[in-house]
Amino acid sequence: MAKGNKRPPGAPVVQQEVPPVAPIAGDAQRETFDLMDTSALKRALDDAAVGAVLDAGMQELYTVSNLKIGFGLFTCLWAVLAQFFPKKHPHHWHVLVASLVIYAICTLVLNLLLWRMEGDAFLFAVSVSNSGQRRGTIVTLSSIMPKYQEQYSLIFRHRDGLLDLPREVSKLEDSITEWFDSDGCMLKTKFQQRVKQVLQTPGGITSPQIKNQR
Amino acid sequence: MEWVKEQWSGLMGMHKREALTQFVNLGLIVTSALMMWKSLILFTGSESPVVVVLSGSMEPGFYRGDILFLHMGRKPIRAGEVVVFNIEGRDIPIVHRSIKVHERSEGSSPHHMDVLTKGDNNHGDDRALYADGQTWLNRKHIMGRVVGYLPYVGMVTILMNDYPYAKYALISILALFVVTSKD
Repeated sequence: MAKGNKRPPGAPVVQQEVPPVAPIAGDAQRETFDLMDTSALKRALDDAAVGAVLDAGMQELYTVSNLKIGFGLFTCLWAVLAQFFPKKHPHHWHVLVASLVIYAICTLVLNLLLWRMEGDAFLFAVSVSNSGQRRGTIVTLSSIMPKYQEQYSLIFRHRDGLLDLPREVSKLEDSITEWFDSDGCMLKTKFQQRVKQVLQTPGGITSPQIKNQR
Repeated sequence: MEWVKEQWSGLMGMHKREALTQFVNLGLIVTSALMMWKSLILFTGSESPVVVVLSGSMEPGFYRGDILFLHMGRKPIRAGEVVVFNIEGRDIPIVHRSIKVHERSEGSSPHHMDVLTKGDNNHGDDRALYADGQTWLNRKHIMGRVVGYLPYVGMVTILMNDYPYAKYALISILALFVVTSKD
């Protein structure tokens, strides 16, 4: 992003129109999907979006995933302790009470953290410098595709930290007829190019690779 | 069968991190059910707050397949109450009615009592069922007293016990469904 183009704090985000991408002749990566299976179509587009963002030079952030796995296992351990403690009820009621309380607290904390940090995002990514150091803001990807409708929305949220509220939001909204042909073949390259374009809209994240391509 | 193959191939195609996350999710689901059961144990004071009637020894009050809700409490057992008790050497608890209760006099252990039970539909009392040399039940044998019931709902449990492979197959399919769920 060029200097002098920074948005003053508090100013509203203005989404610019991104010019449409011309279809790529002989889009080689053709996967076929059932056009009636909206879940499969959404999953395919989500996976392609992940590939596009990581291909743009960003690195996936595993903090939320690690938290979910580590904290989840810790929570389960207390349930295992309550179940397999050597003494039978009522001799181990104090262990049972402690396990129940800790389990409830851990579950509540885990759910609160995931609600605040993860929401409906399926990818957390951050730009990295050529030396591999993390820089810039965190980008999260989420998508919406209501059942029995053809509109697919990919939402990019840019935030400074995992617990911070997003300070900028960009969207890619289009009908799935733009990304799939009548035979159910996915136009993956075209979609990924569009994703990269939206990622680079003002207020978005740039990576060394994309800068060099301009 | 096609559906099972599809789910299995989906499971095999998962990345390690994704698979681990799904297993942790499954673990949280299972442990949340387990902890609800444990909180019920704590609240009712009974080792097994919900039991299923397996025989017809308490007819016409309770029939095979009825679910019984138990509560222990601190009040002494009284004659006429329906209790669930364990006998040493037997795996399955028994649901019968207490017909005689002897409590020790004041000054001795407040929890000591001797209870004799009998099934409503049986001819004689339960001394033939008790362990060798045992003629009375004590408080330590009693899991709880019946405070409520649901008729016939427990037939599913009886079928699962009679056909354990059906139980394992159902649990496996449910677990596979949870782990491979992308929603």
